[in-house]
Amino acid sequence: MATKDERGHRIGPAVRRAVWAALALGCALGGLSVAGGRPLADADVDAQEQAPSELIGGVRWLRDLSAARREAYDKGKPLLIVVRCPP
Amino acid sequence: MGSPDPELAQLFQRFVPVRVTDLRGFDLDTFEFDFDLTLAVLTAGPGGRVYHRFGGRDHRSADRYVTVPGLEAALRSTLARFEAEVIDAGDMDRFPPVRRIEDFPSYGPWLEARGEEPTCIHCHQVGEHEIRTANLVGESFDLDRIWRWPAPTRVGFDVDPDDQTRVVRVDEGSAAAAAGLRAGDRVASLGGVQAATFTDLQFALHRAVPGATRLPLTYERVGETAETELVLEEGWKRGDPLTFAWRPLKWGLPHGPGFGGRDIGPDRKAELGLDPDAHAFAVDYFVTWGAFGHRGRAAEGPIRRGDVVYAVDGKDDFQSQDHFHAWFRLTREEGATARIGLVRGGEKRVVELVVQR
Repeated sequence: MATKDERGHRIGPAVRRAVWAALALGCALGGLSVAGGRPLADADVDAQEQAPSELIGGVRWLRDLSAARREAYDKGKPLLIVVRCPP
Repeated sequence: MGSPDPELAQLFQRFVPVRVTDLRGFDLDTFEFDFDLTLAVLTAGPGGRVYHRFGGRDHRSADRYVTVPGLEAALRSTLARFEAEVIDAGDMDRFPPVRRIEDFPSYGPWLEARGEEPTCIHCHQVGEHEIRTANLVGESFDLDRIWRWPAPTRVGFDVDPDDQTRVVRVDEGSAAAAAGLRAGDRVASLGGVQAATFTDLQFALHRAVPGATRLPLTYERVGETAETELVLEEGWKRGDPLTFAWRPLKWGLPHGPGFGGRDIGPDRKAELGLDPDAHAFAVDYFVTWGAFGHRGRAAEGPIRRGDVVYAVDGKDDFQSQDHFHAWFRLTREEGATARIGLVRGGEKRVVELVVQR
């Protein structure tokens, strides 16, 4: 997935942002297809990133990896770690 | 925001899902992934053992292997392996040592120069700090280290994006062909890494040494399991600059041209007498800031804003501006003269640029 140029400018911002946002949240939504993902407004993404946990597609997602490891241990479940990074 | 795929949603319920959006505090060793990606998925035990990786890409496409069946296969395999494993009650007190991005020697000086705490640390900044740290301690960055997370095609085979352990192609004359692998085979493990995904195969190749080596390969063919070896020669990880071009890592490498711009369309190229299908871009910036400011200042003489660049030293088949930047950095040498083919004022000309570190 592409990247910023060396000035730090996002290349094709609308398209790229739609792609990574759709892929990242598409994981949780079960979509994973770029075409099926809705491009997110900045406010959507920012709001999601404030919460310690969030409900996406009926699944509760934690934000803290240490807490998630403890919870996984207590519940006897494996971890599903999704790393979403801006380009 | 849409309904989840029911099968995937059910699988998610059997995990503790966690979304990581900032690499600060993230254990780069335990949960290693391709830090140039913008999406990476790992499945792991609470003690830090990683079962599978997902989300990897090659130069052809960002999302070719990011498929729902691919993710489901990783999750199912994880559950099977996790359920067969006894978690030692002491595991939680024996987390492996943490190597964080904040621990790079370059991080402190970088933060100080920046003047403020960033709102987040991006994944691709791991590579930047690898290069900055090498520069900081007076070492040159070993270029072999840029050939990271090789795709299986680097050793001569490709897999089905929807069934990522199934081989769909074996290149004639490749290491995979020499090992006896055939289309239709199913890779079970490579280099000791149990495979469920394309990214698991990449990880196996990533952690192999770049020098001559042998990687054990276990595969299944018509229900039978067979073992063989990939025999890899010195430098096997190195590829064409095109395969490296997508990586943000390229921006920190030496020998950048010091300028860039915006791609122009086929009609404009035709007007200028250029091949409409070949890549060309109009210069609209010079890198005159930061540690690489000398590059832009050197380029500002021979190159002008608005010049349409289409070739360097006779190479005129760049596929993108990323390709141009990667190729320039990986093939031009400090102090050499690069002959830039461009169109200025409607006329083709060649100008000379001394390549800067």
